[in-house]
Amino acid sequence: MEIGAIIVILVALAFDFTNGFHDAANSIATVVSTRVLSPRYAVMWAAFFNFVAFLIFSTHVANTIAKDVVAQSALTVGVIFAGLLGAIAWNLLTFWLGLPTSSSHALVGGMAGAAVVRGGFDVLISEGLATIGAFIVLSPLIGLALALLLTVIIQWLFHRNKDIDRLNKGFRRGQLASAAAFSLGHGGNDAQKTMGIILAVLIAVGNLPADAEVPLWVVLSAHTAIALGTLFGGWRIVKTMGFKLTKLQPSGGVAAETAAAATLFFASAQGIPVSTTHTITGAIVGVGASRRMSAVRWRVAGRVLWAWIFTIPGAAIVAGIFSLIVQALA
Amino acid sequence: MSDRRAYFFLAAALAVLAVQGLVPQYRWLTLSVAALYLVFALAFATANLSARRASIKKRQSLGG
Repeated sequence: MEIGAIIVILVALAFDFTNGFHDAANSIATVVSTRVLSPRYAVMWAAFFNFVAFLIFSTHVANTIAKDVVAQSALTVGVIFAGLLGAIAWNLLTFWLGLPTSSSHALVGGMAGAAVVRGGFDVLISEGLATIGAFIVLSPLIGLALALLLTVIIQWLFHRNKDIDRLNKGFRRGQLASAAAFSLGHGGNDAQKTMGIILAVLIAVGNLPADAEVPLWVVLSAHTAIALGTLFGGWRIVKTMGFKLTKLQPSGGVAAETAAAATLFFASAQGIPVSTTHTITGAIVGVGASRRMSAVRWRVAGRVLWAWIFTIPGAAIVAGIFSLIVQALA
Repeated sequence: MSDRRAYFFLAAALAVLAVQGLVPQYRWLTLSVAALYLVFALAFATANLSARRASIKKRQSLGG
């Protein structure tokens, strides 16, 4: 394998690490904010389930990233490298600003921007991008609707229960399961984006045929990288997600995580790369909205919304600049 | 319908329907989610109306 491809694979794994660092905090925000687990044990819990997700999910999302965003003829090693650099730069910028933006959409935007600069808009696959674009809107709204529905069901089932302490204790235990489910969903969907990048590189250099599936070593290395990233999780974003959006009770944490996990499971099964950040944010807002609209801190939610809107074009522009630099240096 | 949640859920239903054309293969999903939001909107709107009606009745009985 050529040295350029090896470098891109290493950068892809570094991106996966930053994805874990940046996004996996979402998995533990509600567990930490409801004080079910200390931050240290929460990240270990999430990292473990991030890693074992490969046992449950197939690699449909990886195939979508590798084959349904940019035409394979336009995906050279240089373009993939520039796309990754753009996504990483965007992630680091939003991490520094404390904004829970989507690493996934940064990656899609980065790949698209880097490819468009070289080959024009014709290299983009409109059907794949339309599905990803639609789920930018749908994934938080599905998470929100399911979380609200679950909250209503929980309230209806337990409103006569007078022993609040016992009830909270039960939901705290339940949160361990719901956080694990969410971490599985996160590992299943997000690690596959890196697998998709590596698969695209291996196809671009002729190491694999165009219709190849993801090799096992790629699956294992991507899950290892995201799990390690989770272990070093980003606390600025945990604070935004868990504390600033709305105040959560253990039952709310269970509802939010279960709703987000269900959304991620569905998306992974369908091969749709969605943002774990968008999904859990929608679910947390859903729980907050069940109390009253003022329970949600809309200024923070609005800031998050703007970050979402700018992620794909922002990462695309940064990656486009990197693409021109890589082209000039090559 | 002064409960702001009703408006919010109505807007959410419209947002879901707006992107439906991009993913015709998931029509069943988008329609189900939009329907769920409409149920929420209706539930919050009617709950609010009932509360307001009760409050008006209470004020009238106190006044008269």
